[in-house]
Amino acid sequence: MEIQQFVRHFENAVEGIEPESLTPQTQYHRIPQWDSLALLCLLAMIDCEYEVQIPGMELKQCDTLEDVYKLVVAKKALKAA
Amino acid sequence: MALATLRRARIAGVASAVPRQIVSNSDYGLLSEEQREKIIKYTGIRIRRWAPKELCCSDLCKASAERLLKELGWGPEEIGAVVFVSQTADYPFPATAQLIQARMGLPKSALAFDVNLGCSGYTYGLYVLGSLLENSGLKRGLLLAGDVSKMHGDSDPASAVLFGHAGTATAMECSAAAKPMQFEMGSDGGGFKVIYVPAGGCRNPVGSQSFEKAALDGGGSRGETDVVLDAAEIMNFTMREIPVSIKRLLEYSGHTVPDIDAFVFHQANLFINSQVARKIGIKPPQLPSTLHDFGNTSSATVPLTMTAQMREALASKPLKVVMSGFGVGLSWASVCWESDCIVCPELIEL
Repeated sequence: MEIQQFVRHFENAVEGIEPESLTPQTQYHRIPQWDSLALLCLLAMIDCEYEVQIPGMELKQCDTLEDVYKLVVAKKALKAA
Repeated sequence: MALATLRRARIAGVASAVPRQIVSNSDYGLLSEEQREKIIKYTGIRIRRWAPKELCCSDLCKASAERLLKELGWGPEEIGAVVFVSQTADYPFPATAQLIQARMGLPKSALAFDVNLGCSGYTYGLYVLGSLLENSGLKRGLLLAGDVSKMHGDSDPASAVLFGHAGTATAMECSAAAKPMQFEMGSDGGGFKVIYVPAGGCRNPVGSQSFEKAALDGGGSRGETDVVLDAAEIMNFTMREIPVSIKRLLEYSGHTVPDIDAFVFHQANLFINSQVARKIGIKPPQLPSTLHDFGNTSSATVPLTMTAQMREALASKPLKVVMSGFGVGLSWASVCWESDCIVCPELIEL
């Protein structure tokens, strides 16, 4: 699992984002496309690609896509343990 | 999670009623046109039916039940039990089932009680009534399910465009010809605040402050008597529990996904239902939906979908059907059954 691939998945999941326009440092909640439906798309993408669920409260603590990626990695490790 | 089988209970027919009045999400004023179209695309909900003040859920259920009994050729005196599954009773007490027993002229010997469930209520109700019939010696019963809830304030965009009104009736009977109905059910009350109304019960009675609207982060406002709905956590709950529930049910009943003619899911959100279907491997033709025309009608969504989308098929040929209700509680119940040309009247409008 690589962070660049995670960013590409995010771009594909949320409607209206140009391919390869975001970076791991992107503050995802500040992009113009971010709204409550984009949140559902993000959660669905994480469930589909990484087979874990991220509670909304924990997601709110994340500022950048890298933060979200690290949270997903931690959830996957917890699930595997 | 609980697995259970009914062996002698049979679904004899299903009928559904909706109010005539149509409200369109394209007219919702607190969102821009672009936002409205995006919400319609993801939720799947374009129009909904809305009841006038004087029309209760019990009225819609009663109309459904009377049409169904007439088409079945069953007399009211044959009904031994009536179960009303709803979160919008006529009064705080008594139970609405008793009022319906009297209004329909059902016998005084009939068992009548309410079950307070929403999204999972129909499939739960099938298990409750079917178990009751199998274990009581009663032959025939009615399951009435639906909601006419006005607790979705227009001022909260997160919930205002989702809900509609409907009331349904399902006739069940004990029959030697019945085929097994397998159920998978579960509860997660720890997550109840994901969908709830904060004020109005004993825990937090309604006071003058309950009607004050507080501004919401994402726009709009909400009071304590309005529904709180956390779509992200509903999504997480659904993706965590429902694919597992349905896979477990299929294994328990000895079926695979291609064996099933239709997966009738609770109709709350098209995007979420499509994600559940993807995880299970359900193909789009196996997944009927009525979200576009009716929105989320709580415990009525599954029988309403049967009436509006599957009526002719259910009436004319055997179908293998999985039905799954999930949401408020948090609670879920899924059932696998084989229909045998049941009675399915046209949709009723009141």
